[in-house]
Amino acid sequence: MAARRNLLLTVSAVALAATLYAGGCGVGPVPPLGPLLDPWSGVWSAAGNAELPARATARVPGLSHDVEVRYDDRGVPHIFAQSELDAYRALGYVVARDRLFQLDIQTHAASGRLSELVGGVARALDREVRSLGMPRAAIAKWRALPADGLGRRVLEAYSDGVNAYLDAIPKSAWPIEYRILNARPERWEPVNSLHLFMRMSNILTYVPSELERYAAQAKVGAAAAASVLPIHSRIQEPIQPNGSAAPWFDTTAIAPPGAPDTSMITRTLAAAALQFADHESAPRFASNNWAVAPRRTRNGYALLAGDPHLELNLPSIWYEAHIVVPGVLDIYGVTIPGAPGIILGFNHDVAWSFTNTGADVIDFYQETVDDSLLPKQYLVDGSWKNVAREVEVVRDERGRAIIVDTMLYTHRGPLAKRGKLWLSMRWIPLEAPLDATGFVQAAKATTARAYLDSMARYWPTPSQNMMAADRGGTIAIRSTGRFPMRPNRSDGLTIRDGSNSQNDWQGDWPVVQYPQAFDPTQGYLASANQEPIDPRQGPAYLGSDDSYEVWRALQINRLLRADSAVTPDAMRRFQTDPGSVRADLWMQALLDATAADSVDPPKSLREARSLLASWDKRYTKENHQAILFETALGNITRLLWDELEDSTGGRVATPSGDVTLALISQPHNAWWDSRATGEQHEDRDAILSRALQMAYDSLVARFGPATGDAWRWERVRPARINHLLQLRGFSALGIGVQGGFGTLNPSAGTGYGSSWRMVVELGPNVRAWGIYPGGQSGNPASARYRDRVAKWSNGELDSLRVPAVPGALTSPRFFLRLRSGTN
Amino acid sequence: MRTARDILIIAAVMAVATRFLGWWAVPIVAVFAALWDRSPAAGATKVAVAAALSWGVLLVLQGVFGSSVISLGRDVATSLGVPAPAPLVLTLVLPAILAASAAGVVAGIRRLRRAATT
Repeated sequence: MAARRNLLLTVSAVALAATLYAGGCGVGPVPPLGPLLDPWSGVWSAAGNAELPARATARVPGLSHDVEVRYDDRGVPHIFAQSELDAYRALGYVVARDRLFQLDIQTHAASGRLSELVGGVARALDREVRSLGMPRAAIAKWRALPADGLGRRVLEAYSDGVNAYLDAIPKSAWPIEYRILNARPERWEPVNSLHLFMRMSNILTYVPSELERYAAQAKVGAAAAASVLPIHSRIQEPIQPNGSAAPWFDTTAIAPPGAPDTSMITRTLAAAALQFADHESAPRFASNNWAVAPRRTRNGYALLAGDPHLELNLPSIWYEAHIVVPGVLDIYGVTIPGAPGIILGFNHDVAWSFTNTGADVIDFYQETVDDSLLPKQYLVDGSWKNVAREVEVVRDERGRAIIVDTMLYTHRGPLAKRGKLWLSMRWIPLEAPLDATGFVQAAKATTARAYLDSMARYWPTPSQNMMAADRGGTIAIRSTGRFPMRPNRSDGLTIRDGSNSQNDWQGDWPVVQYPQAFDPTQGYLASANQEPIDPRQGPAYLGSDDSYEVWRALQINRLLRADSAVTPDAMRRFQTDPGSVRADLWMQALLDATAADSVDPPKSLREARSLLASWDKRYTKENHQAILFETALGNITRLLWDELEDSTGGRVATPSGDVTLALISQPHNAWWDSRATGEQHEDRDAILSRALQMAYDSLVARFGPATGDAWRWERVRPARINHLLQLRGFSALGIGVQGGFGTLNPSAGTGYGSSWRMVVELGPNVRAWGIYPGGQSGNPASARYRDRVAKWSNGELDSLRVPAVPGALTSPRFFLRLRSGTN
Repeated sequence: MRTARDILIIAAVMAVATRFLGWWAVPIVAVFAALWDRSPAAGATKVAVAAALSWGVLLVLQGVFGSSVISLGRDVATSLGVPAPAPLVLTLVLPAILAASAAGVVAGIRRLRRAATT
């Protein structure tokens, strides 16, 4: 009996201890179950907080007057404030209200502290961010802002708003991700906005293409590397119109692969390149924008469309908002949570949208140092300068140091050892002054030119092709940002000698030299990351990101040329147009070459050709042939550029599609020969046939015969929109889309694509339409979390509501009044 | 009837305590309930049922005043890589185990003390 009593007590005590441990501390990767499952403040609170209260009042320190916020039926807050700073306080508040976790995780990622939030899995990313000097630069920029300057005051006002929301909410209102991570939100600092700008600059401008070139050179020699990785695109239809009504093609021969360059410097830098980028999996950010002059539109008003292609996430990178300050500001568009202002959008007079320039704003210098193991000084013009050093400590979610790095800096930027060389990096985002002044001031512009001039004055990075159109009928574009002027008009593709200051940048390009066009005679403008200036007209080196392909630019121009009475709905249709110049140019070549290769082709090749020949070359959701074409082109890339493979089977560099296409007219170029077959020599037709047959066979093996819906495009290449933490349950996966690589809507089979589609008609009353994939709320339990995904995937746009006063917004969904003071 | 009344009272106290103090209020309330209860044999079961009921009611309230906890539970399960019903089931089982084991410890100690005094 006593034994039974003791046993019962022991069992109960062990069970209690184990449950308390699991509840309070978690077991292994499982977070503490108590706070996770607590029905009031755990994950379930996301259900209780899914929707905003119909009416709410909150206090925000520093407000000069009350601010009225009304949310429309799409969950867009319309902010009515009496001063600009009040408006930005309110913007901080409403963004935090819907996107608190996103604000937090973006800041952690941008400041090299993601491990503190998600644990050691992020250590590599944190280390990379810090090794680029980004957090250090953001803090230095913040300290350099004048105390009474607009840039600082706007950042502080926004911060006041975010923190007012944080102070006002109970723990049960924290976003669900904090439960899963067992973390807590951090207070917002004004410098966080600068961390965000640095992060965007990193995403959009960090392209160390010189290292990629060295890597290619190490494989195939300098001449071949320069030939397949050209400075200028071989197909030209530039952003700044060149007076030609069609693209032109560079038909010069491509140099065959030569002997490897085994020089020490090339080998060293080639190794450095491999540390920088995995070209097979590198994300391909891109964007489209175009504008049409009134004389080519049906309604006689200027039209503008834009769709930046970024990583697709839930919640979206964008948050839609409307800000009204009577007599000062009336602006609608999208902001990035953390950015105090509208980045892409329109006011009553002007609309604007951006694409990335891909300009080369980064250079490397080989430094002469006093100590090759741990330098303390480096040589410049015969004098030794001190190397600055800072200790960077990456901590995990429990505050334990997981990486301790000593970072070195020259006056140019971070200094790091690559092989036997010490290289310092100079990169525009590290040194350009940065704040929110650009889009805060430009938001008040009343003409396209005023908008672009304001941005040229205040926007150093990331450099963007800024398209603007206004109610006066002007359409304009200018590639805007700081572009370094290199010594002796040289390019940025060589490693410079750091011991000579003559090799440093000589200043920046003057604005007049920026690629730009105002009211071109052709009546339209289009940019899709193609080269901004025809090299025959503007030979100065701007640099380009060769991962951007020219195809989207060709397609937009083709569509705009063919339509002399463009409507807003046509602009919308263009954004998901299934046509592809790339497919048009490749298809016949592919069919001809595979027909010529063999008099008695194998059955699967015959079937592949037959299937491909029946394709209308449009990436519609229901087509069955695009997957065959894309797989074949992927195989061609692999087979053709095998000389650029490293020992792991990855490529050190991948020439762009226009170079691959150029080889079609050189059927016996040695690039076509496959290394894997030894003495046997392949030509173009053999490789294309093999690529097509391999594609067909692999697709049959994977999806079965090409009957029924087995190869249906939307089924085999769906888009995916991942949650910020890659949590499947909070993601939108398997989203069928029209379009594909090289079309205007390239999301198929990827997690990237049109992140904000907008069309604006600049008539007497501005009309606008827009959509992004996701929803305004960051709460996965909210009806506003992914309510726009279906429309986005179908290429539909929502009509955007722009009330001038609070009462003009019919049937608002939620009311919020912000008052001065603390809660 | 008395058992049902006891369960409802304990569940109500647990729900309020969880709302204001957090999940760890469950074993504390269970300890007091076990001390208060004169029939220790049924005590553990009673507080276990009450604990599950209290959290169940709070879950229902989240759903009634917010969005569906069923679909949220499914999304959470998918995100954590566990079967779809797991979050909901665990949310009812966890307080039950906490409460039952806490009450069991109280009852065990009480028995030991009785045995020692007799």
